[in-house]
Amino acid sequence: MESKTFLHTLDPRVKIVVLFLFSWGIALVQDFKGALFYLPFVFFSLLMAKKEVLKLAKHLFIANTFLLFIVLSMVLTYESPNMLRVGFVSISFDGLKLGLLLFLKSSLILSLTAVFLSTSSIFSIFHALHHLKFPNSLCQILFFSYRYLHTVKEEYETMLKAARCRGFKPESSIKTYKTFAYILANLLVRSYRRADRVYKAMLCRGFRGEFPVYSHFSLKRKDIIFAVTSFIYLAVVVLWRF
Amino acid sequence: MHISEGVLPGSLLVAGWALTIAGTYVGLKKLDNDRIPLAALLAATFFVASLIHVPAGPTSVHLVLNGLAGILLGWTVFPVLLVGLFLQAVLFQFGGLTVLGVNTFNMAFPALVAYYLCKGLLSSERKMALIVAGALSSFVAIMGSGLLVALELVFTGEAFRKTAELALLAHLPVAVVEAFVNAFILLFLKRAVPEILRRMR
Repeated sequence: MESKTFLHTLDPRVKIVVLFLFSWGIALVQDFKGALFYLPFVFFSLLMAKKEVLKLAKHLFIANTFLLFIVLSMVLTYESPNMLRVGFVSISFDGLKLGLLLFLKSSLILSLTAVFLSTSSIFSIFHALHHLKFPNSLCQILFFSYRYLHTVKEEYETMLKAARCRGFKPESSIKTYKTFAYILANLLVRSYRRADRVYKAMLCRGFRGEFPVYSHFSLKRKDIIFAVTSFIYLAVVVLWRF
Repeated sequence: MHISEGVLPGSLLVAGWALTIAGTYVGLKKLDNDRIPLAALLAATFFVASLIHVPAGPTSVHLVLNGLAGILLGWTVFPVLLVGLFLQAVLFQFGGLTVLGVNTFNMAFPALVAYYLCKGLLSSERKMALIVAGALSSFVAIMGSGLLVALELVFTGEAFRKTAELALLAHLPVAVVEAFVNAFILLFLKRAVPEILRRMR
């Protein structure tokens, strides 16, 4: 069991609202100066959830592949007066600058998302979304799909293993695509039938379209202090620029 | 292809969320209570499918299957893909909350177009009709998503023009691979459990 940090003990509803506001704040920033104002907040949040940082770095690297693609293609193709030509390759400084800004903004938002959401259990996040007036059916889809994610994944891995035992080796051929298609079709059929069983089992237990909840959230003093401090920080950063 | 956080301007982010909320609203309206577990299990299945890497020539591509999701689910594709992408954001930090609307719309809207284009083909008894539906849904959904990503990048700024072209091009191998995969899946479903092709949407 991981030790609990301050962020773990915060009310998930507060965390989601603060995360939501800060994400928009960072996403709408246009220049380096603006983005840097958010850095202390993100850094402080990272410190508060220090256990997660290494795991986070790995995730960030994977999540940023799209960004890497954007930055590289911009650096190499953006036509601007500030260019450095080395043989065939021309490097654009304006492209690089824009790319770095995007990289910074994305990393800030992703770090914040990771820190805030990974310090609550996924079920308490769904529960919080329900309190934040998300549609009931959407929350239920979220809940169920998370509940069965690992089941479906295990089924897929079993089927892939069975195919491998019969000599299946993935390559670029119609036969490979056919094998994957049949595995996926089987997954769909199983999910279709399982959904039926699950629903009937729920009806047997008296399901009437709502999940009863046994643990309830209550705003504590530290939740309110955290929320107010964050809002003030955000307000100052946003107003500073006008 | 998911657009990262921090790239698009606010107007696009807001527009993306508005369209996604509208689509999700209609999708949830059309989804009866007794089919919520089905939608959820399909969301989980499409999530798992998106983790599968399939070899394609010198590289490998990961499956998206939004076209298949579209023709099986109709409007419900909006909430199902929204949930799938949200889970990706929470579990893998693939994108955050502001760009989720745009990314959901990019994948779900072309899938919905594929649904309306292929509706008639699915009820046909001929094998060829299913193969055409599989290929058509793949190209419409994948290249449609690629086109939306490219258009959004160009709208964001002239600096992204080349990036946009490359992004669109990168979708082509996925579309080709998925054309085969979709067609085989539809043929299998028609043979094994034909009611799936009728009952899901």
